[in-house]
Amino acid sequence: MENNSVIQAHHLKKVYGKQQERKYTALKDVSFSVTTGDFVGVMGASGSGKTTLLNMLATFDRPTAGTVEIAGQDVTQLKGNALADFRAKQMGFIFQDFNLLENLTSAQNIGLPLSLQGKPAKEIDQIVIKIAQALEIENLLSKYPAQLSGGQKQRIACARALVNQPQILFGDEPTGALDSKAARELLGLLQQINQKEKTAILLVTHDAFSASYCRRIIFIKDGEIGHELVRQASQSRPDFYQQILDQLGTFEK
Amino acid sequence: MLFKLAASSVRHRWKDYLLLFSGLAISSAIFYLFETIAANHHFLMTNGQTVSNLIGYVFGFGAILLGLLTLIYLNYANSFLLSMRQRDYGLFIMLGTRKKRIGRLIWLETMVLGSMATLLGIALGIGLSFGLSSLVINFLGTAATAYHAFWIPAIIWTLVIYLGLFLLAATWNTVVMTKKPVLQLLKANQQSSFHQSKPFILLVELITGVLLLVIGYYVMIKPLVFHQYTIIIAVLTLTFGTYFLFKAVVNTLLQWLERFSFAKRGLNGFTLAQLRFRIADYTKVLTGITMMFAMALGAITVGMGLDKMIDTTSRVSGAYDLSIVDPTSQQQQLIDQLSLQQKKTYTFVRDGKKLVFAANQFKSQPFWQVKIGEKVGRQITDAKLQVIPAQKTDLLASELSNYLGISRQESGQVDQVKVQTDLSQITGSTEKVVFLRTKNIRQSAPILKKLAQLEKQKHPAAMNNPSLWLGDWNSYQQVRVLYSGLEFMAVLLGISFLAMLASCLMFKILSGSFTDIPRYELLRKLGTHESSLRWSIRREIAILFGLPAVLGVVHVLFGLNLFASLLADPYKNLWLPFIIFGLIYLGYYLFLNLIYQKIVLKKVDK
Ligand SMILES: Nc1ncnc2c1ncn2[C@@H]1O[C@H](COP(=O)(O)OP(=O)(O)OP(=O)(O)O)[C@@H](O)[C@H]1O
Ligand SMILES: [Mg+2]
Repeated sequence: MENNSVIQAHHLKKVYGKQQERKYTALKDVSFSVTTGDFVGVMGASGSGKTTLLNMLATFDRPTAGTVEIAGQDVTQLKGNALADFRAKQMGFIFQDFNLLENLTSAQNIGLPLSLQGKPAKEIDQIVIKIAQALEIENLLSKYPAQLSGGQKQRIACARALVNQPQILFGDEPTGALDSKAARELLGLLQQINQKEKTAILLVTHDAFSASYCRRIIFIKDGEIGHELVRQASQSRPDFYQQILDQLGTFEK
Repeated sequence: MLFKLAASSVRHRWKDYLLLFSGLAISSAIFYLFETIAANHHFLMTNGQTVSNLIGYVFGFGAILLGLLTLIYLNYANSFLLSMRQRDYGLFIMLGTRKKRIGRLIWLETMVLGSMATLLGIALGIGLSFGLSSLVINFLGTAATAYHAFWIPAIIWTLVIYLGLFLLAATWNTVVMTKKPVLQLLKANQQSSFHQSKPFILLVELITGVLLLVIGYYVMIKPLVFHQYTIIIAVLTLTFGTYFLFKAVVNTLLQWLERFSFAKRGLNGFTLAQLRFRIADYTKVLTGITMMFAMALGAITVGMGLDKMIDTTSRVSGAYDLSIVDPTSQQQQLIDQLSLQQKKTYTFVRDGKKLVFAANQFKSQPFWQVKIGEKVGRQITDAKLQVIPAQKTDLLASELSNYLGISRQESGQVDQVKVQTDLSQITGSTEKVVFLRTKNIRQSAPILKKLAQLEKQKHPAAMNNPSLWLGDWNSYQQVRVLYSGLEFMAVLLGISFLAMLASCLMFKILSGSFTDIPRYELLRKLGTHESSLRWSIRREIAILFGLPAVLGVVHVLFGLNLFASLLADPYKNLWLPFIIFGLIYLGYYLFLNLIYQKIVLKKVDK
């Protein structure tokens, strides 16, 4: 368990509001872990604290109490350049919107994390082409984001998230702005990466269909883990989807 | 309700508004200060007719330049305002507000902002004028009573010009906002203005640009070819030349740089892309900035150069600063205090209205004159001192009569000055005249002033007659007023150009900053070092500051040639104004950098 866990969150607590302001406890006490090659979904009602949790796991925000360990390192203690380097090397992100810099071409966008690490240009080109082939987006490489559709943009974002072979890939509603066909394609892509590359994925979503691609689902309610569903090896995806819907039904009561 | 919404969004971005507001107020304050001089004919007239006409003309020209600049400046300020408000108004329209109401709101907002800034600016300007009034008076002569820091015509001019321009801006904003499609307003932030130019077009632009610049430079090197059209031709060719050059060269350079592996290291690619996206949109701004930079630097350089020219110019009328006939003991005391380069004492016989000098005294004590330069346009700057040979009695007589004769004809005291070898036929009283040339006319000015005053008192009839010419001291007083006026105006204009230039650049860069916030946020999330982000910003702004500076300096270097007739050597001691200017410019750069980083790199993790 210890050796192959990518994320370990211990007793995470988050209170919003500065000294004088009114306090709001978004997360009370959350502990869980993600193992190598895991595909975890985080679900919950709006305002339940999903984004808050993700921001802390992804080092975008610091917890009020508790620790987050990624690849064996306590990231809540990281600061400045060490934190930046850690992000650049170990993690990939896909957001709901504004993933790409609109003044860079797709290829430049994908290669950006590698540039930041100071990789030689030739190597960057090779890696970008390889990953573009894998995700079937080679024909989009020379285009600017303004020339792409929403789904295409998310695929580019996906490629960029994977380009540095991260330990873990975070997504906050990456399918939120996509129609069901584009969403299905992106999710299929994530699933494929998860299985082939053994990259752990943590996906925040409010949508049961997206969640059904995961292997494990954590339900958050009022800042705590309310329930956890695990997809059985024998279970089909539609079957799991139904189970999630049922769970959401009981959960929201 | 709508007003409340509008007001709340203003409150939300008060810092940006403050920037805009203070920029406008300062600009109108400068305009007011300028008008207190330019619109005060009374004050300009106190320095004597000839000088006043010239100064009036000079200030009139300055006022036109300043007005032009103000127009450009307000244009940028207004587009900054538009860029801030676009999204809000787009949202209002989307929510179903009638365009007419929106139009009225925009109109009102622009007018309120504009008139408040103008009023504040005038108040500031009055304060500024009071603070600077001793300086103004010092520069423009002794007419302290005629200068008013609180000057109604200046207030009226400032109000008319500024409110008029704001009225134009308000109408323009209303039209833009109500005619633009809603989607465009809403997505104003996401639009990319970038499009790749074809190499052929770039080449044509490059050639056009270089050709125009060459014409502009040529015209300035040979100002005598086109005479009074020189400045207009130069301004036009340089402006368009700069524009095309920026468009072609910078675009090409950036596209070319992106091919290298260096473009893939760290944030280099990002910076290049930022610039490339901006350059297309910035070409016009950069051109304006370059021209303003050149004018500001040129004005300050010329202003500082003029100061050095006061002495030279005032001393072309004769070799001596003062001539004194039969010095009194009081005068003698004053003369002893002077540090002199030459002191010549001659005797002459006053025969009725004739003054007769013995020629032989000019052998032992040569009399000097100023030989004016021969090159057209450089007569003054090439002037030299030389001795008048003692045998040239006619020349001596005519030179002496400059000091003693012509100017005293009116009062009927003297009508002829003669130099001859034989004085035996002449009868009359023998008098003494002393010619003084100080080492430094400026330093000796207080004593010279007293001496001249005493000398004039000897001629009660000519007491207030400026044509009672005692020597270069008379010219010095007039030239000083004229040149100090010019200098003062040049420096004032230079500073206004500089202030508005910086403000323009600031508006332009800051209006881009709103689109940059999410970009830098994303880069940070991807794991970019904080220091790299800062470095990237510093570099990007440095290039935007640097490009106009480089081309602007070149413009100035050529443009200074225009002043060869006014300044002995326009290129002498250039480093001083350049360094002063450079430091101010650098200060602006650092300041803008700081603000930009504050806006764009908001701290997220504590
Ligand atoms: N910066 C903040 N300051 C104060 N309160 C915040 C802040 N961010 C979030 N909250 C509060 O914390 C709670 C959890 O927010 P969070 O964004 O995590 O919800 P979520 O589960 O992601 O919701 P959604 O599904 O709508 O995105 C909310 O009640 C929200 O109001
Ligand atoms: Mg959320």
